[in-house]
Amino acid sequence: MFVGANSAAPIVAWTDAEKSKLFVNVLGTKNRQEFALAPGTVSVEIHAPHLVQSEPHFLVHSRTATGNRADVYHINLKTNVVEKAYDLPELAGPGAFSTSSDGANVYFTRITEDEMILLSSASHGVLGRWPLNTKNSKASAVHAVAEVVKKSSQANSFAVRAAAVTSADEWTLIRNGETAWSRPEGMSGAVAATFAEIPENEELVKSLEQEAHSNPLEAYIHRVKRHIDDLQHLPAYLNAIPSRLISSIMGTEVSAIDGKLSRDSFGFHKLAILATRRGMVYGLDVGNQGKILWSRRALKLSKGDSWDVTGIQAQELTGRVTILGSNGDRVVLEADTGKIVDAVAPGPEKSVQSSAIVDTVSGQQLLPVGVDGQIGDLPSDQTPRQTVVTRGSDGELKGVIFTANGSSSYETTSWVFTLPKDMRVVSVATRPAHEPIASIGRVLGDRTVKYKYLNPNTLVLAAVDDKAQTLSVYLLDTVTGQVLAGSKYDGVDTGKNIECAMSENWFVCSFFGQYTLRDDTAQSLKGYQIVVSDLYESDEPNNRGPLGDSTQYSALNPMENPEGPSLPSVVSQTYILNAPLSALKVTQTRQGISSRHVLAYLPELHGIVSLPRMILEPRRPVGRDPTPAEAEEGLMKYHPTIEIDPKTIITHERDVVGITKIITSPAIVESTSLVFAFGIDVFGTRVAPSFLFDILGKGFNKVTLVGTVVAITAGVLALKPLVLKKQINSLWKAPM
Amino acid sequence: MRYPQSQSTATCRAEPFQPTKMKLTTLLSALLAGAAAATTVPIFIQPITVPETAPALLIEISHDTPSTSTDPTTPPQIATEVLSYEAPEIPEGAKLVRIGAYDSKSGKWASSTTVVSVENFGKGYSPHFVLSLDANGQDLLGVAVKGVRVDAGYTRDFGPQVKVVVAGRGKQPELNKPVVLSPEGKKVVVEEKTFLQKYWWVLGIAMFVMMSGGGDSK
Repeated sequence: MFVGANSAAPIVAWTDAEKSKLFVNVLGTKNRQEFALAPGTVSVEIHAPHLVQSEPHFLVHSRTATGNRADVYHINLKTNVVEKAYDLPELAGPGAFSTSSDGANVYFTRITEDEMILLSSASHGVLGRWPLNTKNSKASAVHAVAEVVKKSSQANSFAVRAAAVTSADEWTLIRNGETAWSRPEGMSGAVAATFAEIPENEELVKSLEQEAHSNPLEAYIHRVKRHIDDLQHLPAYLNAIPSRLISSIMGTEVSAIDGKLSRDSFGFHKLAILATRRGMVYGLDVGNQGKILWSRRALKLSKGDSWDVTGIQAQELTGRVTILGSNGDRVVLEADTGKIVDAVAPGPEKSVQSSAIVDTVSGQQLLPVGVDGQIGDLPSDQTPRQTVVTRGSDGELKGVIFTANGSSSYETTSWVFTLPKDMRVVSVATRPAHEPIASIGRVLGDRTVKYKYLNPNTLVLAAVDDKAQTLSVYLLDTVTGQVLAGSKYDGVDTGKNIECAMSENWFVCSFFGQYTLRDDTAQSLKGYQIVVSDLYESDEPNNRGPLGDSTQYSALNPMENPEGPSLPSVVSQTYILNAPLSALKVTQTRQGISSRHVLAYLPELHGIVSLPRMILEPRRPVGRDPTPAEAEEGLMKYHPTIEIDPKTIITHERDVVGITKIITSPAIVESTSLVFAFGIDVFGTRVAPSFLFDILGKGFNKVTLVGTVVAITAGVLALKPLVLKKQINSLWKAPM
Repeated sequence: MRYPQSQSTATCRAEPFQPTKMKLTTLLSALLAGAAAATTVPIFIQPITVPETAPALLIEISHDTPSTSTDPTTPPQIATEVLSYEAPEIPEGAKLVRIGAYDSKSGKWASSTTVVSVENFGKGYSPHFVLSLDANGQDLLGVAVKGVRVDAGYTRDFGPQVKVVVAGRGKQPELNKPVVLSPEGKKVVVEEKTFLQKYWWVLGIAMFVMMSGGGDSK
């Protein structure tokens, strides 16, 4: 369907349903003309000039399944008859056409897979032809806008520049056939991402496995042989030493040796695999400023559809990434090259509600959960050992366990958590899978210990009641389904974003509330709030709760301690924020020693803030200064508001727009956590919540240190013979 | 099989009887409440087996409907009473049981269900029930049971124990004192007292000392 062109003879054109005929009507006349289209036409686009004084010519660009061709038509202004002037041959690929006008002249630019061709609308003579030099991508342009300039120096010499969108979702500028710049605009609209380790050399893994399985003598000989073979890499290693030395002295980053991907000792060189809703998957090098290593179209989607990714998992052992979609589709790619190893096409309807990474006999697997929380039978090597929590058909949460039955296992619902009437779930948060705990209790200022409630099988559920405008936050035990703690907040705006995040023994929830205080009805407040709750074994310190120091615990088994079961003691505090938060996530470090910061996206400030745990602390003393004991613990005086300090915004002055999710990953060094945020923009960085306590900073003067050692050694070497001589001479002197 | 009720009192409290801990206010409120509304909750048990068995009545609990407490720090003590308890008959082979409030008429569970191992109802363990109520004190969120080792030295009450936990009211921020403005909208300036107004009594003492002094002149 096309309406427009220039106003000398504007047209309206349309095709029939089978795309075999094209109908054209010049506006203002009553007749319509019919032209046949090439057989097998899939789509038709019409390009016409825009200026009033342009010639009344237009181009019909028809695409077939494999190629594209074009026909140029002229309109006779006197008789209003449309007649075909010439046609362009069919070439492979989708092809892109663009019209540009220069006075009365109308030019058509054609960009194919290999060439850029400039034609005049008057005749089929080619005015200019440039071979296309796309640097490395094989993508071809699908849509372009071009500008033609006639060089006045010589006749029939033109310069063309075209901005084209390619089939790999890239936006490029092609100037006379050369790619001037290229932007990966397809990376916007990311729906899922994960960190992936750079896969180690496969041969190394294989040979290590071999050594592990053979007898000691064979293993030793094998290892010696492998080391002798490795000597061939020695020259390259020696060559790299000066650059590494210089970069270490200057404090600059160690870049990859000869462009190869390799892990580094800090653990900063990782890959980030990003899946976008248009079906593209990108592999980014986190250690090298997020350079795009590869991009692959995993799924061909029709216009307007978007890829609903339900789960993404990177497996370290195999070096592969699995991506599950909601229509039952599944793509397995290699993390370092992006080669598609396995693909299952999407089904006709939505069959997967979500997915979970579960522990099975054969390692961690990505398990798809069907609609209404049904998983179905699974083979026994893919059976999860844990309880899988799924959403039922009415929005309730249920726990699913698997019982073995021969070579497969069937699912059984173990517990069901139904919400009270009129409530709906808005957010579910769980502890991160990799969560090392550095200390099991908090040492208070008076040297007593408040023991943390560290139950790995818990989740935080936030549910709202739209009519009563309340928010209820429940802490559930995922093995038994018991409600461990619950609290209800009044005056909450349920239409705004409510999110929770959980880590260790505490969780945070952010919401917008407007209410009068319960304690003092004269005061009311309205604003974005964040509530942080700590869980402890008992209200009083030095009490480890009914479990005592037992090393094993099962939520299902009976208790031996006659005291009876007890619920965790919850200490909460609410703070008022001066900006809304979304996409909450807690930083993760390798050993859990560094303090944890809550990362959040600020939609109104277009930045990502890192809120320190010291500020989000429920035990901060209210209304008084902290006592010396509390100050030793690190508690600050309570202040009802948390002002977002611009120094804690980790995106600095960059404008980061539309972040929907933040993922974090531990590095090898304990002080640093890797952060990756995606949505519309993609942002990655490293944060050090307790500052870089285990990495030598730039201020550390390595040159002075080494120089001092060398100077002292030289001095000792120089003076040693003199001192020796003097000692011997003094022995030979006669005693006075 | 009916479990014999403990002979001493008809009421089962959550913790062992500690009369000194009961506050005067709760005692008064309990007295004033008098015939407070009591809710009866029948809890059903269903062993998880492959051909599903129907849930059977396990215990009937009666507890006072808690008033919406305004004090979030002290949880309200809700009196509970076990009306009837039947030790469950669990078929061989079942490892887990599901408990919750069940609506026999409609054949659906009325509240959330939780799962525990069958050993909780075995010999030597007495079941402790925890009822979770929503913050309004009416909706039953769920029931959990835990078998606790019967220890004669700890308590003489071998029957099933019940504790009712009410979801608390969310913590609200503690605001500072509100800023008071004068009718014109300006901040109220507290007038400082003058030196004389503050220390007039020092003058009195000085006068007294001067008067009583004297003496010591030669």
